[in-house]
Amino acid sequence: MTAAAEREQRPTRTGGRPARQVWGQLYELLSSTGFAIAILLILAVASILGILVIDQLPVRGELARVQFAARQDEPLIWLLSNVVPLRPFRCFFFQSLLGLLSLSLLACTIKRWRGSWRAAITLPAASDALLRSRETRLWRTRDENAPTRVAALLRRRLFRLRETQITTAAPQEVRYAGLRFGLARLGPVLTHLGFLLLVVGAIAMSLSGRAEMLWLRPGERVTVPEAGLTLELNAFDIEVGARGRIADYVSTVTLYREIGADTTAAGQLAGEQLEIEVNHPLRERGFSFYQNSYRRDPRRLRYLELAFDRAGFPLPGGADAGDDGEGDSDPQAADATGAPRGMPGSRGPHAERHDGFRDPMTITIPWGERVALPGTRYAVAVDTFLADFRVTADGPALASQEFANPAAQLAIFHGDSLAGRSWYFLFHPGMAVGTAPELPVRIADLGPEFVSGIEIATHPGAPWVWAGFAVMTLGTMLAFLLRTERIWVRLRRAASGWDVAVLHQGAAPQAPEFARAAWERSATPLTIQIARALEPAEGAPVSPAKRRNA
Amino acid sequence: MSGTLDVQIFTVSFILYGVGFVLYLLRAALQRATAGVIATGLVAVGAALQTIALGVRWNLSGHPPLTSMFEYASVMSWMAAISLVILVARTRRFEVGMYVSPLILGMMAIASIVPKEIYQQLVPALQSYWLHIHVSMAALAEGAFALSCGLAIAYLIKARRADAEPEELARLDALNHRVISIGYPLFTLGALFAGAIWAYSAWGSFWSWDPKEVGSWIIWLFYTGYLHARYRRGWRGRKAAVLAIIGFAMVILSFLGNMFLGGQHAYG
Repeated sequence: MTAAAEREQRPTRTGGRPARQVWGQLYELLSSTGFAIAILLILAVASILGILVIDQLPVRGELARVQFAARQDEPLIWLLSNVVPLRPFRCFFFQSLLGLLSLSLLACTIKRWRGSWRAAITLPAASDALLRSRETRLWRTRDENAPTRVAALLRRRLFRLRETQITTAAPQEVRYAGLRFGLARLGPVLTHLGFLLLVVGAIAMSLSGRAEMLWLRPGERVTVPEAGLTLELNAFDIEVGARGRIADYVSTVTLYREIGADTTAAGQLAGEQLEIEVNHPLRERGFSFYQNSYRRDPRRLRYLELAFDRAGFPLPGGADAGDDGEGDSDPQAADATGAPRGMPGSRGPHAERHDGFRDPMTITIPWGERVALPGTRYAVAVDTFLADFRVTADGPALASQEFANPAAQLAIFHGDSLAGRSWYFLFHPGMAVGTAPELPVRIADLGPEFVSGIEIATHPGAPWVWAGFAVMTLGTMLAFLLRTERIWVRLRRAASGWDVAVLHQGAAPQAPEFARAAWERSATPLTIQIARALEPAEGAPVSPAKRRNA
Repeated sequence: MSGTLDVQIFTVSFILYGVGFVLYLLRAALQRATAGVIATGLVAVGAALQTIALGVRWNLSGHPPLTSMFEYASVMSWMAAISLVILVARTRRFEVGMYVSPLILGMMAIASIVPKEIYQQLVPALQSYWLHIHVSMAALAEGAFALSCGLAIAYLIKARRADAEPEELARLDALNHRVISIGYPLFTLGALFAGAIWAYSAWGSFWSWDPKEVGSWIIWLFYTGYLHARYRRGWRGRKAAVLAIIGFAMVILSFLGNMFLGGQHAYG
């Protein structure tokens, strides 16, 4: 043989071992119980580690990553960030484990399918060899109708029966092979298949699913171009129940659907008004809209409650309505100074005068409305609101989403003309910063406007998951609720009556405390029932071994 | 005794379970069968009273008592107590009570130390019929796991004795397996599937690796491993008993995990 011919023959082997054999071994490994248990164990340990990582830091979002990075000096954080991935359940390692589990489930399903199916439907004949089993019980009955009686009893117990009659040879024989709940044998394999579908669906969702949180104010809209959908929030309502606990929160939205390529502006379509509520998401064109959360709007109020001292306001004639001797300067004149009054550190008399109102009154100013202060010539409107007021180089700014330092800029009107604008602070009632005249007013309370937190999500693996639930539920119910039972009965004609042999498999022996006779302690309840129907004529039922010894 | 009526009845049940446990101990120490019968009777009365307590709480709150740690622990112990009474009544194995009743007492003790406030207003996420399905099935399953743990302890203690009858041990082992075979599908369908379907409606995803979800996932993996080891590897007797005890320890850890790890399941 030439060297070239030898080389041509070599590719039939891989590393000295046939490729088929390698695949066969891989298949055996994946379908083995040991491998499955090992994967389950590793998954459990990885899940515990994952939850510990999540507990140590909020792993979702970029902000969390920044916060995490800032805690690098903490030993546990350093260890976690350098050893464990930040999103443990979405990392390659964990997904690979799920992938291996899928392969194991697939191999197990394939390996066991044929055997389970065969066991579920086949009815082996009641052979003599089979009936020599240790669990077989033998006795003689004088009941002439034994075959009919046994068949009726077993059919009543939902056994599928196959009857064989031997009438040509003596002695005459009737044999029954019975199977009950054979489908239960498919339970484990269906459970594996269902779990495989679940894992595949979970991996698909993990890899290609999308979830995005949106904070919408009434009137705002969001477009989902991929689905041709536009969602506009009309209203967001919060229901408060007993003890001030939140009972429900609901977003009323208008959903605009683009139809075909003709429609370009969703707003031109007639929208459908719908509600999105906790536990009742809106699903449309593969997208789901969840009422996930809500929060107080840091830039807007529903209303503001303003307390003011009528006695402290300038009288229409120009004199102070109060008797404290401090006259209010003309608002316009105050503005003319050019410098905002009541800046921190320079607000002494202004703040003091607001602390004790002599003729207090509170009015509610809805957002966007101008409200007259009764008994005065002034009116007020809320211009701007900041939940966490901070002064920056560019002016007032929102420092955070929290209500840490709520402040409202009020526009003060004198008659019909704007007298000025000043910032007032909920937690610093004496302070006013701005160009408005010094007036005895302060913020008494705030009615926050709420922003609806709507999550838009896609679940590309959902059909797999639903199929997995269905198949696995069916498999679990078959496997645990039903029990496959087989029974073989041989009735052989005797001089008077019949010699009975019964072998029942798939059921536990009678519980000893309920056994009436000694022999019943080792027989199944069904065998006992048959023996009661076909009353033993010569002694109690015995096993083949005992019969031989006798 | 202080607290609302349901908590007062709960306390009486707690005491009855405690006395029942002492009588089970006396039965074992003095070999008096009557003590076992009385102990089981007391546990049965305790369970009946606990049924009333849960009913009263349901009436006071206007929703099933399945929404706080107190309620869940109470329901779990109630399920375990009922299972114990049924098991003893059907099998006449009074000795099992000696091992299961301390577990019931433990769950009652946990319930007694957590806040017991009644909230008439459920948070929006809990206002779903899935609450009834998901939580009750999970509690029933975990009650079964508690019972199986008690049976496993009974097995291990009996197996240490020189005069242990193999048949008796085999029956105990089979009984334990049967209890787990009831708990496992309930846990699969109730705790995992029903929970996942509910989460899909309420939170936007079937699974979000919340601490409680991970806890349930680990418990399920563990019992799945147990069943595989039993069916395919023939792990029975001592090994199976040890696994059953570890499994219930995981159930308790997962239950208490809410206190430390929080998450979406931390309702109170």
